[in-house]
Amino acid sequence: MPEVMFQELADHAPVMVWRAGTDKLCNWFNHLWLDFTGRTMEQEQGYGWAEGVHPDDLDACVATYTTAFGAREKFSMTYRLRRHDGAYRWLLDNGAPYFKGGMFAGYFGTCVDVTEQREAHDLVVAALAERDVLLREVYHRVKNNLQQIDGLIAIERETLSDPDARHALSSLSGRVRAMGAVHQRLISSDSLVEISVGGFMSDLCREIGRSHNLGKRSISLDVQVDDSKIHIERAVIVGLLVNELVTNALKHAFPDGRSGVVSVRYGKQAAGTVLEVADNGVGLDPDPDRNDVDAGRHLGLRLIEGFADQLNGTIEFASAGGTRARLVLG
Amino acid sequence: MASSKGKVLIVEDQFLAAEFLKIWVEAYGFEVCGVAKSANRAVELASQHMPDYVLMDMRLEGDRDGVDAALEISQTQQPRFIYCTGSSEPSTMKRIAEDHPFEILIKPINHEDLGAALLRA
Repeated sequence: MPEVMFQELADHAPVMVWRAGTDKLCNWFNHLWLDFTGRTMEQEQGYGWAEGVHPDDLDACVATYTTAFGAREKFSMTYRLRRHDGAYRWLLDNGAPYFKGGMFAGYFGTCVDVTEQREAHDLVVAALAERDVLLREVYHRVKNNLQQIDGLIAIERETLSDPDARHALSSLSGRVRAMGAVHQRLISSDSLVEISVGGFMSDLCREIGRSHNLGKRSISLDVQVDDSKIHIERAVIVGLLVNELVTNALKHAFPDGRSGVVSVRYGKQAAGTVLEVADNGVGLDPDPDRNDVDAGRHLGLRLIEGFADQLNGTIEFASAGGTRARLVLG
Repeated sequence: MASSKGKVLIVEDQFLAAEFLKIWVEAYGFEVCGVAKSANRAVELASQHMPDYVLMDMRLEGDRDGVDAALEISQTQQPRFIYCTGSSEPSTMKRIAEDHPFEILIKPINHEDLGAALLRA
């Protein structure tokens, strides 16, 4: 294409156009570019154009340009360029090498003003960030409210002398804390809809251990969980389930000061995601009627089955050298 | 249950909520003929048990909501639908109005309101 024809075409193009020689120096700008900056061709040539780039964007802009140029690669970048009225506008600049007769001849680039899109994008990003802050605040309040409920239960418990009533309120406390553990994790989680199972399960089991005075008993909790993520709705149910299973083990598996281990496992297996809570305590009696299943334990078992069902899972109990509960999550 | 005042189907995807409803419904002298977590299961259980009442949650497991289930059940039988919803938002109310509910109860449900709704028949 003859040079004159090219310039006519480029001058009338509805985008800003620039051209650089093999020496990286810009040697030509179309009318739209010069109209935009309000400067002359001579002022813009060489690295003159860089004088109009916003100081905060200049280093990245020049680095992108020179690196791409050195490698003869295309580039695409955004930076702010000063308009003739002094206002900085965001430009999307796409540059590419061009060749004449197979020989590298320099670079062409086109720029479009993307300020409106950029501002709209920034508004959306800001709105999303604000939403995240509010949601975290809500999670924080839910956590605090759960702690308050736990406190109210504790106070109520202290007014009672009946062991069954006190025991029922302790169990209730444990369930409220299991729900609180999810919100505790959510506050520090990157995501607002899922949490990492590992940290959550460790927190939860530590809390259950603390409320059963594990420090003073020779029973240890061994928690091994993979690094998967879990949706918060499911996490609440899994947390309640783990609370029931671990609490059951701590209450019933080690009578008369026996020592032992309660292990909690959660992770992917061939059958799917599996939750296992096992102890090496006294185990259940094969004759169900001889097991000491009081009203509280009966409720616990009903909850376990209900939560397992809500997770579309199936739970199985085995009793050999202790008790083992295995839930395959649906 | 010979002395039952009627059969109630509970449609609720949250296990604990379903448990509370079950305890209260039985305390009021009704028989719980089934608990469903999804619209499809609700339709199945309704055709199997022909309940007098359906306690219908709006948000269910699966793609279909409580109104979907109620409209399908209504094609073959006319139990009274008592909706139990966690949201009193206009959009939810409008959606429920697509069916002809006997009663709408907003969660958390007071057992006296539930009893009153069941006994009003």
